[in-house]
Order: sequence, then C-alpha cells, then structure tokens
Amino acid sequence: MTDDSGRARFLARVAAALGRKEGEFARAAPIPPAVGASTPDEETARDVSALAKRFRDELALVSGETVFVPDPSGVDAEIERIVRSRGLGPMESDMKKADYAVLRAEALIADTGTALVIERTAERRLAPYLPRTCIVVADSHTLFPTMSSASLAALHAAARRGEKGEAVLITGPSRTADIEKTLVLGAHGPRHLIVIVSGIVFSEEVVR
Amino acid sequence: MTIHFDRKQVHDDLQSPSAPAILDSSMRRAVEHKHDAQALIAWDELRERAHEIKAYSIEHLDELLVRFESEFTARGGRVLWAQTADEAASHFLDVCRTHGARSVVKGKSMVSEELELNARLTAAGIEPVETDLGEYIVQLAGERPTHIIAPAIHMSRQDVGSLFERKLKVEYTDDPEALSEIARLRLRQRYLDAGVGMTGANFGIAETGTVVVVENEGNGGLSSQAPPVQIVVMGIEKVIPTLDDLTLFLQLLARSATGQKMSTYVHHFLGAVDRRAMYSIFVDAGRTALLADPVARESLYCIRCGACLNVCPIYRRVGGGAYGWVYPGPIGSVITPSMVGVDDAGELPFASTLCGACSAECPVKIDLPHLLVHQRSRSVDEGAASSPLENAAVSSWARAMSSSRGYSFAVLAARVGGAVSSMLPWISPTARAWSKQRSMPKVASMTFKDWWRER
Repeated sequence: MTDDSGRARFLARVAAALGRKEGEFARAAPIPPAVGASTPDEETARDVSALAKRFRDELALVSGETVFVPDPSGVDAEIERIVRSRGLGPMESDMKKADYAVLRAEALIADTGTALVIERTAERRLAPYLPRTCIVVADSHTLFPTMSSASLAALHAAARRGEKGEAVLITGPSRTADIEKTLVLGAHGPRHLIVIVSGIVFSEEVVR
Repeated sequence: MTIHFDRKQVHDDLQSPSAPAILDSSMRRAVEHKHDAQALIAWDELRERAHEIKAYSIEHLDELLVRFESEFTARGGRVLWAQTADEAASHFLDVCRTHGARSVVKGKSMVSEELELNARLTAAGIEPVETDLGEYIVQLAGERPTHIIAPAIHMSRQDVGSLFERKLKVEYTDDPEALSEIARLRLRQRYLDAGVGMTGANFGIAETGTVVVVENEGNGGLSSQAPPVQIVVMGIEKVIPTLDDLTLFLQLLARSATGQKMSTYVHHFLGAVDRRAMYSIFVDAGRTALLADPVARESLYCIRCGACLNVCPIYRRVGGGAYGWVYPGPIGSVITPSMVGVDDAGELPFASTLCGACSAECPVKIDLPHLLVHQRSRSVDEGAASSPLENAAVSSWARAMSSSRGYSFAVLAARVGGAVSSMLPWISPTARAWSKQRSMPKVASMTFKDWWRER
C-alpha cells in the first residue's frame, strides 16, 4: 500500500499540473464558502397540507405510495394494516429474512418525493435495501418544498459532526432500465415503497 | 500500463459504422425524457453555476484532495493514492488480500474499467461480481460497457434472453421484468457472501470526507453496505468543496443521465461503523495530463452523465464499442488521447462533426467542440493523425495561396485538371470514397481577372 513518499509524489504531481511553484501547495486548506450554494429554498409560509399533497403526487410519479395519518400515535396501527393487507410476514430484525423494513425519515422533500434516511448502526445498514417492501415513517413538520441546504440540514449536520454510517436520499422503489431502456420496478432493492406521514389532518378532498 | 487500445479496430469501426438498430431509438427516448425533466427548472442558470463550482474545484484540486483525506481518515477511513491504473489495481488487490476476500461485489464504476479490475481480480484468484444489471449482462457476455450510463445498450432484449439461457441455464425469456428478477435472485446471496464491496464515486465532498454515489437499482447500497470491507475507487476530479455544492449537481445529474428529477438512491457514506473497514483509492491514471493542459483541463468538469453520447450523431451511428476504450462519445474523444496517449488514440477527436449538440446538452457546460478541435491540433502537431496525402495537399494549398504567381499557377492547374479528370478512365480508391457521393465543382470558363481585363 502507499507509503508516504507515494502520497507526496502524487500530490506534487497534481500541484505541478496546476502550475503551482515548488512548496506553494497549500497544506491545511480552508474550505471556501460554497461557490454557487444550493437552489434557494422557496420558503414561503409553510403550507403543510399543500406540501404534503405535492409530496404524495411527486412520489406517485415514481411509483411510491404515501399514506397520511393524523396522529403520530396512529403510525403503528397503520403499519400493521399495511402488513396485514399485503400479506407480509411478521416483523423481523434480521433483514435477510424480513419481508419489510421500517425506516425513519429525517426529512421529506415535496418537489421530488424524496425521503432522507440516516442509518447509524451496523445492524440497520441493509434495512433500506434488502427487504422487498420498504415502509418509511416521517412527521409532517419535516416536509420541505425543495432539495436545498435547509431540507438537507439533518444530513449536513450529521456529516459535519463526524457521525458514521450511511445517509441516503430515497426517491421511489428501486428500478432499472438497463434492458432496452424499458423501466422495470424492483431491481435489487425494494419493489414497494410506502411513506407514512403523520401529524396533519386533511380535509377530505386533499387526502383523496 | 494496462491499457488495451486497439488502434486498428477503432479505425475500422469508425470507417464502417455499424451501431445496433436498438441504439438510435433508445437514445432518442433518453433525450426526450431528459427534455421533459429539464423544462421544469432554470436549467441554464444551474448549468452555469455547476460549471463555476467545477472550475473552482479543479483549480484547487490539490487542496481539496488533502482536505478530503484528512476528513475521511478522521471518520475511520483510509485513503490510498494511485498514480497509474496498475498502481490502483495493486492497492485494490492488497486490500482484498489483507482482509482475506474471495469475492468482490461491484457497483457500477467506469474507473474500474480503466483499471481492468475484473481481469486483475480473476488473475489473483478473487472473483469479481458486477451487480448493476447492465454491467452484469456485459460481464456475462464477456464484453465491455458501450455507454457510460447504460452499459448494455447495444444488446436487445432477445440478446439478453439467450445470453441468460446459455450462461445461467434458465428458460428463455425476453421479458425485461423477468430477466431483471433472474439477475436479482442470482445476486442476492453474492452481496452477503462477498469479502469486499466496491463502488465508484459520483462526488467526493472535501469538507466532510463524504463519498456520494448515485444509482437507481439499489445494487450500490447493497454492494457498499453488505460486505465487511468497502472500497471506493475514485478519479481525482470527483472532489467538490462542500455538501451545499452537491445539491445542484444532484438535480443536473439525474436529469441529464436518465431524465429523472431525482435518482432513486443518493448514498452518502459518512464513515465506517463498528469493525467495518473503508478505503478510498484516488486514481490519477492520466488525469494530471489533462490537468496540466490549460485547455483540455475543462474536460475534468465532466460528471459522467452520458448526455453528450445520447445526442452525438457519430455515437448514435457507430455505438460505444467503436471508441476502443472506456469512455465513448464526445467526452471520450476528448479525454482518451490525453489519458492513453496521442499516439494510440489521436484519431478519436476526428470522430466528430463538430455539430455542437454535445455542448448544448452538457449539464456542466463543457465546450466540447472547442476541446475536440484542441485535441485534433495536438494530434496533428504530434504527427499522430495526418496522412502524407493530406499534408501534401495542405502545404501545396498554402504555397499556392501565399503569392500571386502561385495563385495563377494553381488556377491554371485547376482548369486543366478539371477538364482532364472527367476524361480519365481511373480514379484512385482514396479519392473514390469522397467522390462517390459528390461531383467536382465546375471551374468557370473565364477567370475573374480575364473578365475584368476584357470588360
């Protein structure tokens, strides 16, 4: 494996290609502010039900489902209903045997139907990928309009704090179009993705 | 160096285009999807900003690499530096041996193609398993990917069906869904058994030492998370400064590559948990040659979306195999000569009509036609891509045009030649390729000078 001289030679070569003079190469480079930062978040007055509806519609476009429950205490009952109605096996912590996994999202992005999930332990690292059905649970106050520094704040904070594990943005069930560009749902990851959003009450026509 | 670039094959392929029928329609569909997805955002503004961020990143590459290393190391990872493809492959094998790996599951990675990693692993008695469906198909067929995003684009569903029937001993089907399910079931246990999981990287975030991988199938998640050891193989140009910069690129990449608003999975590897091990191999392998060239440097902004391939009239006619190495299409024609050498690949920049469709599509606004012309001039200067005939023609043209005597003589010669050539029974094979479709311009019966004098 690389000894220090290999590393030094490598970096010297990069510096030389950039036209740096001998010894000019910066050692502990400070990171400048982001050149173009991210898209400004269209942070209007947060109309939660409009965001929720947009999230549901965008996720539906990529074949994911959204379920709304008014109260966080109703989430378990909803999961049970989903498991029963789809004939899924019992709750399993061994992901190799599990029919489904339940993930917690730290943010939902309405514009793309995306859920931010952070798995911090070794036991949970396969949960988003191995079972055929993936149930994601989130609170309505984590809904954001667009992918931005604001909506991804939880991810950015975890990375900056030096937390370990994997953060993943999930947009719909897994898919492939590698054969003749024909879309097939359920490639190596889940075939079904259901997001349960808790904590808001809708008028009837929004939910339908 | 382990570079297998067959100059003769490339020459022949470019001379007689033979892209599979499926290619053009697939490409057209890809472009339509993309334009639908682009209509919804301030596309040009985003491209402009992406270009600026990449320009900054490349100009500060040495600093960003060092920062990435220190952050990645602080999170329990280890960075290995590889000047050449050979060195990168050796690092990879060393890690496999250290951890006693018998097999490696691989997410999609173009850099691993540069390293000829599958061949190297096999020779060392370690089994490489491609897990991206397209790569899996290509590996079974013993071929090479022909598109950056869709490796098996050159094969029809029937091709894949008979390949699976032959190699996997399954009943023939040409239903993409059934074929995909066959691959999924085959690979599921392979993830769990593998000693090492490998992915490429779409972005390396210097600020936090985070590796970002974008994919749709879930194989990237499984390849990176299932095995006890994770190796990321990354070209040095993948590093960008901050997580805030990333957001913009995610929108551009998904739309340009597949026409999605967002890819299904965007993995952020934050650091190794428990006793798992994590390595990052930074690969140069010719990238500093691009970096040292102030013009060609811009090609390092590339995020490997494949959009320039999809719209290129040459790519659509000849297919990815014709470019002879890992990166096809306009971007391949620009970077390959610098990466493998002008002597071998100096012909590639000429495989372009300079129509500009590629730069109009490029999500980071790389001026590809300009770079193609730049690489052409390098090829000519280094004597790698000009024929004696062409040289003679151009230098006599220069001589004829640089003095009035020379010009008069050339006019006379053209008049005589034009009159005589139509009567000649023969024409050289070189000239026939051109003249088959075209007729020679007629030389006017009187020159302008004569007309002026007699007026």
